[in-house]
Amino acid sequence: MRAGRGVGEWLRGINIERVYFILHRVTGIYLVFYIFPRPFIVLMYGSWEEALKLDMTLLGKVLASIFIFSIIFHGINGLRIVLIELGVIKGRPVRDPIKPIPALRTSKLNILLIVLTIVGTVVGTALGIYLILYGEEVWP
Amino acid sequence: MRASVERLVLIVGALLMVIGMPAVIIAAVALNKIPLGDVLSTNPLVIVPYAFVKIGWGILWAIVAADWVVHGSHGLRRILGELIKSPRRRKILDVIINIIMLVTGVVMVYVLVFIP
Repeated sequence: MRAGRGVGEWLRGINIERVYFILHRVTGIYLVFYIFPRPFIVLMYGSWEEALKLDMTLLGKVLASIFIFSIIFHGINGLRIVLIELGVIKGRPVRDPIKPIPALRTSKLNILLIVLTIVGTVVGTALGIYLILYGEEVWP
Repeated sequence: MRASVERLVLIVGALLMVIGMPAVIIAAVALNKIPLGDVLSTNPLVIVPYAFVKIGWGILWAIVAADWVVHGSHGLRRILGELIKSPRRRKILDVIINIIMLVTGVVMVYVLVFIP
Protein backbone atom coordinates (compact mmCIF):
# COMPACT_ATOMS: atom_id res chain seq x y z
CA MET A 1 0.00 0.00 0.00
CA ARG A 2 1.33 3.39 -0.95
CA ALA A 3 0.62 6.44 1.20
CA GLY A 4 -1.86 9.08 0.17
CA ARG A 5 -3.73 6.92 -2.35
CA GLY A 6 -6.93 6.57 -0.36
CA VAL A 7 -9.25 3.63 0.17
CA GLY A 8 -9.48 3.12 -3.60
CA GLU A 9 -6.02 1.57 -3.42
CA TRP A 10 -7.50 -1.29 -1.33
CA LEU A 11 -9.82 -2.19 -4.18
CA ARG A 12 -7.24 -2.02 -6.99
CA GLY A 13 -7.06 -5.54 -8.42
CA ILE A 14 -9.19 -7.97 -6.48
CA ASN A 15 -8.29 -11.55 -5.61
CA ILE A 16 -8.91 -13.73 -2.54
CA GLU A 17 -5.98 -12.30 -0.55
CA ARG A 18 -7.04 -8.74 -1.36
CA VAL A 19 -10.61 -9.52 -0.25
CA TYR A 20 -9.21 -10.86 3.04
CA PHE A 21 -7.04 -7.75 3.33
CA ILE A 22 -10.08 -5.47 2.91
CA LEU A 23 -12.19 -7.54 5.33
CA HIS A 24 -9.33 -7.54 7.87
CA ARG A 25 -9.17 -3.75 7.77
CA VAL A 26 -12.91 -3.17 7.81
CA THR A 27 -13.40 -5.59 10.74
CA GLY A 28 -10.45 -3.98 12.53
CA ILE A 29 -11.99 -0.51 12.16
CA TYR A 30 -15.34 -1.87 13.42
CA LEU A 31 -13.68 -3.49 16.44
CA VAL A 32 -12.02 -0.19 17.35
CA PHE A 33 -15.31 1.71 17.09
CA TYR A 34 -17.16 -1.00 19.03
CA ILE A 35 -14.64 -1.50 21.84
CA PHE A 36 -13.14 1.95 22.42
CA PRO A 37 -16.36 3.70 23.58
CA ARG A 38 -17.31 0.85 25.96
CA PRO A 39 -15.19 1.86 28.97
CA PHE A 40 -16.56 5.39 28.68
CA ILE A 41 -20.15 4.05 28.59
CA VAL A 42 -19.47 2.03 31.77
CA LEU A 43 -17.89 5.11 33.36
CA MET A 44 -20.92 7.19 32.37
CA TYR A 45 -23.46 4.72 33.80
CA GLY A 46 -21.33 3.87 36.82
CA SER A 47 -21.79 0.10 36.61
CA TRP A 48 -21.29 -2.80 34.21
CA GLU A 49 -24.87 -4.01 34.80
CA GLU A 50 -26.34 -0.73 33.57
CA ALA A 51 -24.09 -0.69 30.52
CA LEU A 52 -25.09 -4.31 29.79
CA LYS A 53 -28.72 -3.22 29.42
CA LEU A 54 -27.71 -1.31 26.28
CA ASP A 55 -26.31 -4.52 24.79
CA MET A 56 -29.62 -6.29 25.32
CA THR A 57 -31.60 -3.89 23.11
CA LEU A 58 -32.25 -4.80 19.46
CA LEU A 59 -29.60 -2.35 18.24
CA GLY A 60 -27.15 -3.69 20.84
CA LYS A 61 -27.72 -7.24 19.61
CA VAL A 62 -27.24 -6.29 15.96
CA LEU A 63 -23.99 -4.46 16.81
CA ALA A 64 -22.88 -7.42 18.93
CA SER A 65 -23.55 -9.85 16.06
CA ILE A 66 -21.36 -7.79 13.73
CA PHE A 67 -18.80 -7.66 16.55
CA ILE A 68 -18.76 -11.47 16.83
CA PHE A 69 -18.20 -11.84 13.07
CA SER A 70 -15.50 -9.16 13.16
CA ILE A 71 -13.55 -10.55 16.09
CA ILE A 72 -13.58 -14.12 14.79
CA PHE A 73 -12.56 -13.18 11.25
CA HIS A 74 -9.98 -10.63 12.43
CA GLY A 75 -8.53 -13.11 14.94
CA ILE A 76 -8.16 -16.11 12.63
CA ASN A 77 -7.01 -14.10 9.63
CA GLY A 78 -4.70 -12.11 11.92
CA LEU A 79 -3.04 -15.37 12.95
CA ARG A 80 -2.35 -16.11 9.26
CA ILE A 81 -0.87 -12.64 8.80
CA VAL A 82 1.36 -13.06 11.87
CA LEU A 83 2.59 -16.40 10.50
CA ILE A 84 3.44 -14.69 7.19
CA GLU A 85 5.22 -11.84 9.00
CA LEU A 86 7.23 -14.28 11.15
CA GLY A 87 8.22 -16.32 8.10
CA VAL A 88 6.38 -19.49 9.14
CA ILE A 89 4.30 -19.31 5.96
CA LYS A 90 7.06 -19.37 3.37
CA GLY A 91 7.26 -18.93 -0.37
CA ARG A 92 7.27 -15.91 -2.58
CA PRO A 93 3.93 -14.66 -3.84
CA VAL A 94 3.38 -15.54 -7.50
CA ARG A 95 2.19 -12.72 -9.73
CA ASP A 96 -0.20 -13.34 -12.62
CA PRO A 97 1.82 -12.78 -15.83
CA ILE A 98 -1.00 -10.91 -17.56
CA LYS A 99 -3.60 -9.58 -15.14
CA PRO A 100 -2.49 -6.64 -12.94
CA ILE A 101 -3.80 -8.23 -9.73
CA PRO A 102 -1.94 -8.63 -6.41
CA ALA A 103 0.39 -11.62 -6.16
CA LEU A 104 -0.91 -14.78 -4.51
CA ARG A 105 0.97 -16.91 -1.99
CA THR A 106 1.12 -20.54 -3.05
CA SER A 107 2.11 -22.00 0.34
CA LYS A 108 -0.17 -24.90 1.32
CA LEU A 109 -0.30 -23.66 4.92
CA ASN A 110 -1.51 -20.29 3.66
CA ILE A 111 -4.26 -21.90 1.57
CA LEU A 112 -5.24 -24.10 4.52
CA LEU A 113 -5.49 -21.06 6.80
CA ILE A 114 -7.54 -19.17 4.19
CA VAL A 115 -10.03 -22.07 4.17
CA LEU A 116 -9.92 -22.37 7.98
CA THR A 117 -10.68 -18.66 8.28
CA ILE A 118 -13.89 -19.12 6.28
CA VAL A 119 -14.93 -22.26 8.19
CA GLY A 120 -14.03 -20.80 11.61
CA THR A 121 -15.77 -17.51 10.87
CA VAL A 122 -18.98 -19.15 9.62
CA VAL A 123 -19.20 -21.65 12.52
CA GLY A 124 -18.12 -19.15 15.21
CA THR A 125 -20.40 -16.39 13.92
CA ALA A 126 -23.41 -18.72 13.70
CA LEU A 127 -22.86 -19.97 17.26
CA GLY A 128 -22.19 -16.44 18.55
CA ILE A 129 -25.29 -14.95 16.90
CA TYR A 130 -27.43 -17.83 18.22
CA LEU A 131 -26.21 -17.15 21.77
CA ILE A 132 -26.70 -13.39 21.36
CA LEU A 133 -30.30 -13.92 20.24
CA TYR A 134 -31.32 -16.84 22.46
CA GLY A 135 -28.68 -17.08 25.22
CA GLU A 136 -29.20 -16.18 28.89
CA GLU A 137 -28.99 -12.43 29.44
CA VAL A 138 -28.15 -12.45 33.14
CA TRP A 139 -25.16 -13.78 35.00
CA PRO A 140 -25.93 -15.63 38.26
CA MET B 1 7.34 5.90 15.14
CA ARG B 2 9.36 3.78 12.74
CA ALA B 3 7.30 1.42 10.59
CA SER B 4 9.30 -1.60 11.81
CA VAL B 5 8.64 -0.75 15.48
CA GLU B 6 4.96 -0.23 14.73
CA ARG B 7 4.81 -3.62 12.99
CA LEU B 8 6.51 -5.26 15.99
CA VAL B 9 4.03 -3.66 18.42
CA LEU B 10 1.14 -4.83 16.22
CA ILE B 11 2.45 -8.41 15.99
CA VAL B 12 3.24 -8.72 19.71
CA GLY B 13 -0.16 -7.21 20.56
CA ALA B 14 -1.92 -9.56 18.16
CA LEU B 15 -0.14 -12.64 19.56
CA LEU B 16 -0.95 -11.57 23.13
CA MET B 17 -4.62 -11.33 22.19
CA VAL B 18 -4.86 -14.46 20.06
CA ILE B 19 -3.26 -16.47 22.87
CA GLY B 20 -4.37 -14.39 25.87
CA MET B 21 -8.11 -14.14 25.22
CA PRO B 22 -8.79 -17.88 24.83
CA ALA B 23 -6.29 -18.64 27.64
CA VAL B 24 -8.13 -16.46 30.17
CA ILE B 25 -11.54 -17.88 29.17
CA ILE B 26 -10.26 -21.50 29.25
CA ALA B 27 -8.62 -20.88 32.65
CA ALA B 28 -11.88 -19.49 34.10
CA VAL B 29 -13.77 -22.53 32.79
CA ALA B 30 -11.10 -25.02 33.93
CA LEU B 31 -11.07 -23.55 37.44
CA ASN B 32 -14.89 -23.69 37.43
CA LYS B 33 -15.11 -19.95 38.09
CA ILE B 34 -17.37 -19.81 35.04
CA PRO B 35 -19.09 -23.18 34.48
CA LEU B 36 -18.86 -24.56 30.92
CA GLY B 37 -22.63 -25.08 30.81
CA ASP B 38 -23.15 -21.36 31.43
CA VAL B 39 -20.61 -20.42 28.76
CA LEU B 40 -22.48 -22.51 26.20
CA SER B 41 -25.89 -21.09 27.07
CA THR B 42 -25.21 -17.43 27.87
CA ASN B 43 -24.93 -14.35 25.66
CA PRO B 44 -21.16 -13.97 25.00
CA LEU B 45 -21.33 -10.29 25.98
CA VAL B 46 -22.58 -11.32 29.43
CA ILE B 47 -19.61 -13.68 29.83
CA VAL B 48 -16.99 -11.24 28.53
CA PRO B 49 -16.25 -9.03 30.31
CA TYR B 50 -19.21 -8.80 32.76
CA ALA B 51 -18.79 -12.29 34.26
CA PHE B 52 -15.05 -11.67 34.56
CA VAL B 53 -15.68 -8.52 36.57
CA LYS B 54 -18.13 -10.41 38.81
CA ILE B 55 -15.74 -13.27 39.61
CA GLY B 56 -12.98 -10.78 40.40
CA TRP B 57 -10.89 -11.47 37.30
CA GLY B 58 -11.35 -7.94 35.98
CA ILE B 59 -7.66 -7.17 36.42
CA LEU B 60 -6.71 -10.21 34.33
CA TRP B 61 -9.10 -9.18 31.58
CA ALA B 62 -7.80 -5.61 31.91
CA ILE B 63 -4.38 -6.79 30.65
CA VAL B 64 -6.00 -8.28 27.54
CA ALA B 65 -8.23 -5.21 27.11
CA ALA B 66 -5.29 -2.80 27.43
CA ASP B 67 -3.42 -4.82 24.81
CA TRP B 68 -6.56 -4.61 22.67
CA VAL B 69 -6.49 -0.82 22.93
CA VAL B 70 -2.78 -0.66 22.00
CA HIS B 71 -3.25 -3.02 19.04
CA GLY B 72 -6.38 -1.18 17.86
CA SER B 73 -4.74 2.24 18.12
CA HIS B 74 -1.70 1.14 16.15
CA GLY B 75 -3.89 -0.51 13.54
CA LEU B 76 -5.95 2.64 13.17
CA ARG B 77 -2.78 4.75 12.94
CA ARG B 78 -1.48 2.46 10.20
CA ILE B 79 -4.71 2.66 8.18
CA LEU B 80 -5.11 6.43 8.57
CA GLY B 81 -1.38 6.94 7.96
CA GLU B 82 -1.76 5.38 4.53
CA LEU B 83 -4.36 7.95 3.62
CA ILE B 84 -2.13 10.89 4.53
CA LYS B 85 0.73 12.08 2.32
CA SER B 86 2.21 14.96 4.32
CA PRO B 87 4.75 13.99 7.04
CA ARG B 88 3.58 16.92 9.20
CA ARG B 89 -0.01 15.73 9.14
CA ARG B 90 1.17 12.23 9.92
CA LYS B 91 2.93 13.54 13.03
CA ILE B 92 -0.29 15.26 14.11
CA LEU B 93 -2.11 11.95 13.56
CA ASP B 94 0.53 10.20 15.71
CA VAL B 95 -0.09 12.61 18.59
CA ILE B 96 -3.89 12.29 18.35
CA ILE B 97 -3.73 8.47 18.24
CA ASN B 98 -1.32 8.39 21.20
CA ILE B 99 -3.68 10.55 23.28
CA ILE B 100 -6.69 8.37 22.36
CA MET B 101 -4.69 5.21 23.17
CA LEU B 102 -3.52 6.51 26.53
CA VAL B 103 -6.89 7.85 27.70
CA THR B 104 -8.86 4.80 26.49
CA GLY B 105 -6.30 2.38 27.94
CA VAL B 106 -6.35 4.01 31.38
CA VAL B 107 -10.18 4.22 31.46
CA MET B 108 -10.45 0.61 30.25
CA VAL B 109 -8.21 -0.68 33.07
CA TYR B 110 -9.99 1.55 35.61
CA VAL B 111 -13.51 0.32 34.74
CA LEU B 112 -12.44 -3.33 34.66
CA VAL B 113 -10.61 -3.20 37.98
CA PHE B 114 -12.51 -0.64 40.06
CA ILE B 115 -16.10 -0.56 38.78
CA PRO B 116 -18.27 -3.50 39.92
